[in-house]
Amino acid sequence: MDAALFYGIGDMRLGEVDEPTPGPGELLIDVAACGICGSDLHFYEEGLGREVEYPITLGHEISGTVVEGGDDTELEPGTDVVLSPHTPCGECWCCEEALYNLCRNLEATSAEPGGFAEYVVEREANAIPLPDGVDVQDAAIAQPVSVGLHAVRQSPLGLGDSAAVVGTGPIGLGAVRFAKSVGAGPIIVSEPQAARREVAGAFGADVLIDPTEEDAVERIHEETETGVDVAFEAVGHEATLRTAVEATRAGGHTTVIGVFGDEVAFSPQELVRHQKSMSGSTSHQLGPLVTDEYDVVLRQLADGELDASQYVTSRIDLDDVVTDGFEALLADDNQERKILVCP
Amino acid sequence: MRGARFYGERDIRIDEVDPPEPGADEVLVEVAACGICGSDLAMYLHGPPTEAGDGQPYVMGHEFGGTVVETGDAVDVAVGTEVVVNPLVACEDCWCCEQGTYNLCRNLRVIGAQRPGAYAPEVAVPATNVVPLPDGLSPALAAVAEPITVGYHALRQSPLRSGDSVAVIGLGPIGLGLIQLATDAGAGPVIGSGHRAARRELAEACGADLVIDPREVDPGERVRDAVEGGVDVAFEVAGRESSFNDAVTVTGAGGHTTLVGVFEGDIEFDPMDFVDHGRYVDGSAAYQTGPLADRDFGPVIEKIASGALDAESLVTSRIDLEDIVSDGFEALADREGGEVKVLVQP
Repeated sequence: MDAALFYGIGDMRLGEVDEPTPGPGELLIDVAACGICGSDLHFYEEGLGREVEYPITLGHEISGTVVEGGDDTELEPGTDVVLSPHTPCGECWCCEEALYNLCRNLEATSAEPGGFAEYVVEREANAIPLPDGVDVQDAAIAQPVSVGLHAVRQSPLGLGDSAAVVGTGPIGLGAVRFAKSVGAGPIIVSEPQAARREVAGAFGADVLIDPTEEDAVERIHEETETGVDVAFEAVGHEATLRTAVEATRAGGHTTVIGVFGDEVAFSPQELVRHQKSMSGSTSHQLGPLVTDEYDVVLRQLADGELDASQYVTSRIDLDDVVTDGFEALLADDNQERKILVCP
Repeated sequence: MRGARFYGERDIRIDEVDPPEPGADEVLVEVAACGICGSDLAMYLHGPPTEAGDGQPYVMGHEFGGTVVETGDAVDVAVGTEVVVNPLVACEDCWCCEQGTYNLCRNLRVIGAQRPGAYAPEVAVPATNVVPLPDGLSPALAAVAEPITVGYHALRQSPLRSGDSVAVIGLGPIGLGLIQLATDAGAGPVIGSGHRAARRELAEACGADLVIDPREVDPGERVRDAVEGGVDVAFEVAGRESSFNDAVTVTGAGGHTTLVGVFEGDIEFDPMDFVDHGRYVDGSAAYQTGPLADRDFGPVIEKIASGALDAESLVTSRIDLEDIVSDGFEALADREGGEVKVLVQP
């Protein structure tokens, strides 16, 4: 079968590999779509940062159709599914406490090979059947959107609270969508790219700020008088973290979702003097609890509250995964958000 | 009367100042003792001075107990009442006060910073801000209630419960008070980390199960040897970059850090310590005040009076006002010295 083979920094090429075979408890899945994640781009540019035997196949935002099941599986061939990206070890103290997304032994991707391939094998436990009315390609956005959902659920954001989302790429957009779902308002977004700002409005944001044109913190304080109850940082930079924390009111909370490459400068006195709080949110529930969040996303896809066509900017062939996928997203003038590779 | 005023870096002078006159809703407190706070020390070492409207600095000193000797017309408190004073004066008008979070008052004025304080024989304070003492607690010792109350408010804000493991990073009076309070709350093991040997010894006497010198061992590693995964809750009580990062990394995945220390300027930290581990940090701002001035002070002074909390062992020196620089600020600045809480008796 065809698969995108990653040989190391900047080197990914289409290749022929053996089709994987499902073992006991595993499914062979015909991949419908696999999204490209910021972490995939990071690996492409910087390598994996751990020992691997190259080449490997990336891709963990996977949806598709069951082709066949190994022994001890129940899902019928022809069932459309979306996959959970990681398998928690089940044995570390985090897993014992059901904090599966914090598992101390999380592998990179559970599917074999990764999702930029025609077929993958995955444990049946990680395959979630799609409800009626969910397009199988669209379902691939469940994984990245769930990151934003998990962040909202982890935060103290509730009905009537005001929220700010700093950065509305694919992760921040998820935070906006579910902030709206929990009844937050106003939802204020700060995002320098016009297209991303506009789609944040379509996803439920009430106020759209271009931080290159005005001071986001000042504007947020004008809009809310006190500052927001909860802010989400979905970029991973020093300046946007400061913006998020300063945008909150006294006693307010910042949830950090962004992936940071470096240490940042920060003023703890901002937290002490005003009794503010801050927490980090990573990924989403996994293992037996992955459906806690995936089910919400799938339901919203099925009833139209979540519009995949607004979230996904391009659907490309596997053949074009490098030129129209990775290289396009890494270009200086990139206008894409979520690209689905559809083998 | 003579009061200690703060002119700038390492410049405290004992000046003749006008004796305070209490307003209609204020009382005049004769100061029994006033403690020197770490934040005062930081100001002494690094500036800037506090300024009154006429360009002259205020008398400093915000941790104090004493006796009410005069009252304004509109006040209920009786002359002769022995009190500890809550030095935070809330406006009771801004949105923070309207919400009952008086310590976050947008117009907060601190006795000893934005209005005259207690490195002086007498000080005028709003009647709302005096907390009458229970029997068995002298006004002089009650001065130590203030830093302990800072820790008490932080502990109540944190999720610390009976059975949780806890680390206290920074072993000054607030940290030492927190070690006692955490033990009192049923936490364990209670781990203390601090640079000064004398304070580490005191931490053990206060109930710490383990004390760490962060210059000798990596606190994160040492804590994880003692508690699998890391502690449930950590308190940062020093206000420095190293103590901030220690207080975060000693907690386990999903752990909670409460910042109590006063920070000057920026620090560097790795946000992935939070993102990858689901950690949580919040800041605690002093203690409740305004109409709730005794909300945090009250239980603390009860615990000191009953013996549940030991305030006396935190006091290492009692000095005269005239010696406030040599035996107070300079003694505390000496990091190899053994001073913990120095009480000025004006």
